Amino acid sequence: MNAGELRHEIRRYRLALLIGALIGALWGSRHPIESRMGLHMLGQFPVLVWGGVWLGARLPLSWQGKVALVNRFGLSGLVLASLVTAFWMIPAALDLAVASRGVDILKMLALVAAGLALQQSWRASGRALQAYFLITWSMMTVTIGLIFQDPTTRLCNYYRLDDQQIAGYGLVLVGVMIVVIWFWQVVAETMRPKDSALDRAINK
Amino acid sequence: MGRILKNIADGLNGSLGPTITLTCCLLLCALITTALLTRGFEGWTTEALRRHAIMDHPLPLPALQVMDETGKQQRLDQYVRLDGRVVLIDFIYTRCNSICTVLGEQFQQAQAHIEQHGLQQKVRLLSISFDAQHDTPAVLASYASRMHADPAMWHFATVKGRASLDLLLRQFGIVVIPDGYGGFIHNAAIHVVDREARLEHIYDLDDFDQALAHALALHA
Repeated sequence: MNAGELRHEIRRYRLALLIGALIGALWGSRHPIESRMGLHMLGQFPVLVWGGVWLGARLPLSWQGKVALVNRFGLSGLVLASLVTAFWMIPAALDLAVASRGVDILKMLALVAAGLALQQSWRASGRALQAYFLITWSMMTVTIGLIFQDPTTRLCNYYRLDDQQIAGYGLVLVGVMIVVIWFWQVVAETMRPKDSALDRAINK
Repeated sequence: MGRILKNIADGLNGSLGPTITLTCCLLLCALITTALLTRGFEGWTTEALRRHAIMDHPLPLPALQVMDETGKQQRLDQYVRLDGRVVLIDFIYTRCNSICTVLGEQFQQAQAHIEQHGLQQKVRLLSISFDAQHDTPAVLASYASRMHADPAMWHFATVKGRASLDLLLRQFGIVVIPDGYGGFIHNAAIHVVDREARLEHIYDLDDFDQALAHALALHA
């Protein structure tokens, strides 16, 4: 294989190489990131979910079609995303992920799947379902965040109390901000002038 | 009402069926997984689960070599069995400035209570250090005198060998993490071990009276 063919092969597989490198970086950074609860829940979790969203956007159309058959109105996808994110907020689950590499791999795969499901389901679900799932997710996240802020009980054996409280503040913030941002988008869309050029182009 | 039912039926007969089926499967999977994680919704934290597990299945003490504050070495399970008394065990390290000192005070109060009620023949205390490198017998002996420990009923020990210590901590479910200030934090508790050297029950630091009452019930 000469240099030109090698470059061609690398270009072909650059996406796979990039994904491999990212996975390697993620796994290699497992210990420093998972040693702090705030970094674990508010750093690693969103990155994994975003990875799933990224993958979902690049899913082949035929696969998207198959997914859509079992995901009318994005219902099963939103349910999956809600269940996965809820499960990994249970203190016992977090401890298990830190203690066991196998469980940690399952957790990472589950969060990526949640992101993928979210990406495939969001647009299909419509504003009503989006509102329902987002608000229930936010209420759950804020509640857990408030519980984590309780200074009397250390809930995870692998995390210090101050770590837990910081994660608690972060969870409340994220839970509130995501609903605020979504609501802002809905209002902005509703307030957009009806006779804008975009609307005319769409309705033509 | 009839129209709503008809709409639902249409939806089920139409393309909504697979979605509903998948959603139900996901909910069922989540329920089963959560039930497995929490041992049937018994507890949501590792500590609660550990205590329930011990209550359901008392844990025989492993046959590890320990060294007490006098330098004497013995197997941990024999150390308990040959003595004949119920023992309350806690895990410490003598360099501790935070929760371990609280535990030390609790055990001081416990010692006073035991002496006051003349229970020395039935119950004793054992503090095991997980900092074997620093907590040599001499250091433990010095710590014992600082705590005004009665050598007849409050003993101190370390575990010989890193692997043995890890095994003991793992079996007991003790997780030690750095506290960010050069010390350690762990899920401190009072462990009630019966005369057959089985870990029977785990109590909060604050629930010392209950731990002592349980120990006396075991001895009876």
